[in-house]
Amino acid sequence: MISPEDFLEHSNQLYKLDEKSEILLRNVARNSYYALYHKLVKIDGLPTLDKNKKEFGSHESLIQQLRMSEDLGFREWGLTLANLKATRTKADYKIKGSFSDHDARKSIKIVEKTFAEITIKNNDEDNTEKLKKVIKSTPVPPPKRTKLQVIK
Amino acid sequence: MAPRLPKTVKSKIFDSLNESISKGIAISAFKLEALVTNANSLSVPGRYAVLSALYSHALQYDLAYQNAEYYMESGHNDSDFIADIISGLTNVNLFNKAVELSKKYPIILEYPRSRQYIHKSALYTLDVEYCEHIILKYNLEGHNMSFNYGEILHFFGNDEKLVSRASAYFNYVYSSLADILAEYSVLGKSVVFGVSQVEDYSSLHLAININGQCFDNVLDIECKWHKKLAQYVVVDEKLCGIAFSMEINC
Repeated sequence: MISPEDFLEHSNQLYKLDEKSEILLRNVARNSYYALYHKLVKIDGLPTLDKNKKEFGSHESLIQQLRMSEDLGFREWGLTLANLKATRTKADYKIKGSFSDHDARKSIKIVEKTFAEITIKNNDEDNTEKLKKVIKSTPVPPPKRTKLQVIK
Repeated sequence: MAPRLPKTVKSKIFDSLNESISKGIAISAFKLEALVTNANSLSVPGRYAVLSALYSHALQYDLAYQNAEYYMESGHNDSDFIADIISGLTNVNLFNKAVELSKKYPIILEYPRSRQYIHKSALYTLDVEYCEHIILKYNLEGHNMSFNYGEILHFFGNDEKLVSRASAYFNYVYSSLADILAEYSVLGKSVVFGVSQVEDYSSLHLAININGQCFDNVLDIECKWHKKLAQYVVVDEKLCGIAFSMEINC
């Protein structure tokens, strides 16, 4: 079994090799894309798509779910994934054109950045949950009632 | 005949604009001041055209458009001046503004060079109705575009309402792009836009080529652009899948 992080690590290992052939650069971009896809597909709280509408592939559907989300951060990741998908398509299908070092390097950087953002978001949500639990487990005692003295 | 500018002043200013384009860096405030002083020595209405091009490349969009309007309002329709104005606007990706100006002053379409810029601008802003109008009314021979308005319509399933929503989205896309590039004082080198078809799946991709900037800067600009783009809520599947990127011009 492998994780999204394994895809990214593999991309990094490939990119660190001294001899960067075009096929290597294309593999770097492809692996980076799949790292991000598998990371984002596990996210909770994405809107459900209308199944009566035209069927899209799972990759397009995930981009749509992210872009249609009410969460601004998710929408941004949707744009990132759409972008990387275009790069992955170029890497895998547009074999007659060139594929640059810039494309490969950018794929890695963007995925690393998005992974970091996901970690921060998850930590923030965990902390919010913990805070809620703390508040629940230690209820604040009601203030003691003191009788007011009537000043004559 | 429309008044002509003294060649030396105009060419000096346009040399600076071309230098700024080739470096990918906007005209600085310091340099702008000197160039505006030079431009102000030119006679009206040519001065407005030169000022418009100048402000475009200094990324002072409001002043660029304002001076473009001053020129058009003057009624002196010199094809070179009009082309200078329109190319200035399109050089800084103000495609929506170029189309807006052309709709307000249709005489712009009478000049082949300006017409080509406007047609490109209408395509880039997904204004298919205006593209169709230009194609049907004028000859666009020699205008090499990688795609045409028919492909845009086809991409959106000939759904005119969807195309209209897409066009509204793209107006936002270019406005946000202009804001970001102004923040970084960067001029985009060129735009690559078109439909990509792989097997039975097609998608739109808009790429802005940047030069004179390092890798990290370009990545930073793209991330900021995406943050702005994410603020615009899209719900149509076709709009969700559009990719927007910044590329280093090699």
